[in-house]
Amino acid sequence: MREISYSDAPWPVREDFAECHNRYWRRLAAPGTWFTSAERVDIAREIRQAQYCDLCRRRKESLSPYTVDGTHDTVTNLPDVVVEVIHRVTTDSARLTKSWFDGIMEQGLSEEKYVEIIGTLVALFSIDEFCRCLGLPLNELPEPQPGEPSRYRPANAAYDGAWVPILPMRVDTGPDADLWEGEMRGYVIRALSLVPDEVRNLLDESEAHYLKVHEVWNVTRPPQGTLTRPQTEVVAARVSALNGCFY
Amino acid sequence: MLRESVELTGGSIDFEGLTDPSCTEIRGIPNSRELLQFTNACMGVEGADPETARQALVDSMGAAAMIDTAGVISNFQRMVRIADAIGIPSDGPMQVMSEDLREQLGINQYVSAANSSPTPFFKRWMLKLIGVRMFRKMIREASTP
Repeated sequence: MREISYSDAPWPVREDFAECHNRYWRRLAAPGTWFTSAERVDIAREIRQAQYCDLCRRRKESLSPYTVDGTHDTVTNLPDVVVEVIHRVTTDSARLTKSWFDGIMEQGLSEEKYVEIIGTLVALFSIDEFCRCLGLPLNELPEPQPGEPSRYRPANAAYDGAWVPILPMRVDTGPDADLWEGEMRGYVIRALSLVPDEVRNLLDESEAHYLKVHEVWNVTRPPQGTLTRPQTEVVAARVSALNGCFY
Repeated sequence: MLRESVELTGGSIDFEGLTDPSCTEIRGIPNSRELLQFTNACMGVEGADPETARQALVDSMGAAAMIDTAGVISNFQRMVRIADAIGIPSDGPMQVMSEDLREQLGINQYVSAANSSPTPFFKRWMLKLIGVRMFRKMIREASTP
């Protein structure tokens, strides 16, 4: 696999960005929890394609995305339901509803696969967005590696306010206790916990891009780098607002 | 988080413009003009040119700050999609703590607000009385050097 490097960028880029992006690229190239490596790389390709999809563009421009029918412009052989999830969440996540999610489940996609798609999507999209913000070309996707998905489902996942089962606020023992570090976690960290490896990816990327998760509540703690915490939170708030995110 | 962060560092800011893409500056936040210009440009807000915004931020805060800002923007592009796609509600104390801000900034009108049902009267009262205080205490303690 070709290593990600930002050494050709017009400005010096902190090393930990490339290090963390390389760690994710290696995980993307390996079999996941519910998808093979080839499927995961296809999900990544489809995330990039979503931005060029005519149906997604028309839906985004319409008053309600649910009034616009059509077929997605796809670049993979992934099932239609998987493509719908990828394209909608990538291009218009603010207008997702529980009814839309229920419709996806009725088409036969499992909750576990749904969560792995979302985990893959947000990790890849975040790294791509970093490159786009800097005006850099997107990193070449990795070659899929052989192997089978682990199909691990945490026994203590349960419905607790989200659309899918999630792990409890605090987990002190068992194979996923490392994610909690003996502390309580809010919904946004627990959200992907039906597939715990997706939370591991999230925590790893968060450390380079924003803060270590246990440092978030220290509101005077500046993030990695040069910005003050209030400057960081102003940027975060504007991104959330432009995305129409309540959370 | 922004409000807690500003208050604990002894400052104050005007939140009004935060959700308005045409608001170009947040009083009380140094370099907010360049930070918001760059954020708008990265988010594809009409009329915001990425190259100009990138250079303006480099000129005012340096290249490292521009790259750090790109890291934060891309981080929250991820977090909003997690929240929206998993349909998570707002955590109880945070929901009560941010009631006034959500009202002021129109955030309750967002589609994803439907994932957080209104807090029942008794629970809201308990959260205000105990939960929010404990939460603020936890934040203050975590933020003490």
